[in-house]
Amino acid sequence: MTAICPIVSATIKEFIRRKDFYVFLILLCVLLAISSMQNFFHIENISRYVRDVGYSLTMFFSFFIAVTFSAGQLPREIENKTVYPLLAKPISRRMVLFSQFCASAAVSVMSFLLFFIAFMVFDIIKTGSLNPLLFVQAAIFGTLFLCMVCAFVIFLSTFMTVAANITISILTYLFITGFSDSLRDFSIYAKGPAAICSEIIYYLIPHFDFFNMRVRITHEWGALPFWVVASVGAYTFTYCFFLLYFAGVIFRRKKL
Amino acid sequence: MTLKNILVASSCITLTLIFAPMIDTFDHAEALTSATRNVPLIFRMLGETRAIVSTWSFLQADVYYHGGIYDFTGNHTFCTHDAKGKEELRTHIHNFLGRLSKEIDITEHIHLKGDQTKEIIPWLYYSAKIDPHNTDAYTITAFYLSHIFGKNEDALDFLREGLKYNPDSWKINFEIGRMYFQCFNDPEKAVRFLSRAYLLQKEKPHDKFQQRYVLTLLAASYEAIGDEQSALKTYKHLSELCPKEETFKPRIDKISVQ
Repeated sequence: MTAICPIVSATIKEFIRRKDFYVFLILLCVLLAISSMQNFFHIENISRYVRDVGYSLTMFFSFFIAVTFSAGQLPREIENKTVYPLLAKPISRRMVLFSQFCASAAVSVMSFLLFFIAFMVFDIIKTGSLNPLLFVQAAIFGTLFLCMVCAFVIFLSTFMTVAANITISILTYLFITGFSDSLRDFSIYAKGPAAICSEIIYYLIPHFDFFNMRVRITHEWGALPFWVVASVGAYTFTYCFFLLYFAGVIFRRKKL
Repeated sequence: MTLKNILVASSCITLTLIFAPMIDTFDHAEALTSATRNVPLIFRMLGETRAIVSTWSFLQADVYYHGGIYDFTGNHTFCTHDAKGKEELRTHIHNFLGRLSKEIDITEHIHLKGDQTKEIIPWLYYSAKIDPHNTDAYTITAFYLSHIFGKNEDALDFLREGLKYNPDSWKINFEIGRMYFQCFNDPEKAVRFLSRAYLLQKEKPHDKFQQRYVLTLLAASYEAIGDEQSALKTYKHLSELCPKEETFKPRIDKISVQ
């Protein structure tokens, strides 16, 4: 823990100095303000599309920050040769990876929570009401989602270049959010080896689709049962653990 | 002097006769292309993909109408109205992650009702703004504005904007005619738009039911302005179009007696 804290605090300071977050926050507020002020034939209290736009932008900006920040962590340390003093402290390579995961997750979650607060403020101003349980669940799911994204990107960063990592991460996200349901339905109807293969793939892929609360928040569907939230939390924890474990295995064998 | 005047007058008439159709063609082409110029810059940047984005926005309205859920493939095997279907799906999914995913998903089938329908208006509005040639976006927006929210003036203005960009759309002409007849009680204007809608419809592929909509309202409008001959002719046409339909016969008999 004493080894992780300085790395995390240094990363947060670096993040505060960068301009990405401020640009995204201003852009989010401007877009939400424009959406809220739109007048459609003088019909009052049209709110769902503002909520839809707000939540989607919040998640997209946070995802973008998480991917770009996590992808650059390890390659930058290696390129600047700052990884050598770290390893000489001595900290194990696994610990370096874990501290980078913690730092990336902290930065992503911090920015997500600030975006989310801005979105909530606009939503309260626009609609005058809020489902607290649903929004708390959305914040929890957003946090879990970003942790998983960070773990996934850090895993890829042990054997990929920054550009390839960012591209693959975004494509994986788009593929899984778009086709995960189809894969699930395919595994229901498939028989024999196809069923086994599809089931294995379904278990192996990172289920970014679990964390999407857009429809629930936008269309005011009720909150999820507690066991579902707990299961998604356990799934995220397990998946991140395995990703970081295998990332550690690869990184240990890597020649620096 | 007189000869000169005659020559000038005849030249003017000749030129008018020559150029009038050209001006008409120009006006028509201008109306069709001005739609693109009047689109906001941000949407114009989309180029030809505007039609796709506009259709997406239109479909979003449909998704919103179904509470955020809609199966575009039409596969409603597990998209259920009740808990029974949900239970049926759970029995099909054997793996834990699949069940978890289904618990997170929303599979109930709902429709927005009454005042809630306002939520679809932004998507329909943007659908028309992004691609002014999307005639369905104009007619459906107008339908909701007039039927659900009672905003007949706004609906008519929106349809007129649509007509400016799509002068050859029978759907928009029909919708304007319908509004004049049903909402503004102005059958004379209704006849003008509905007869134009009928003429335009004949030039485009359409089905029997669409033709029936137009002709039924047109016949009723003729009747309302007292043009019984035209009304009779239209009812007879309707009777030939839908021989099994018996609602036109009493109208024909009534007008024939008069």
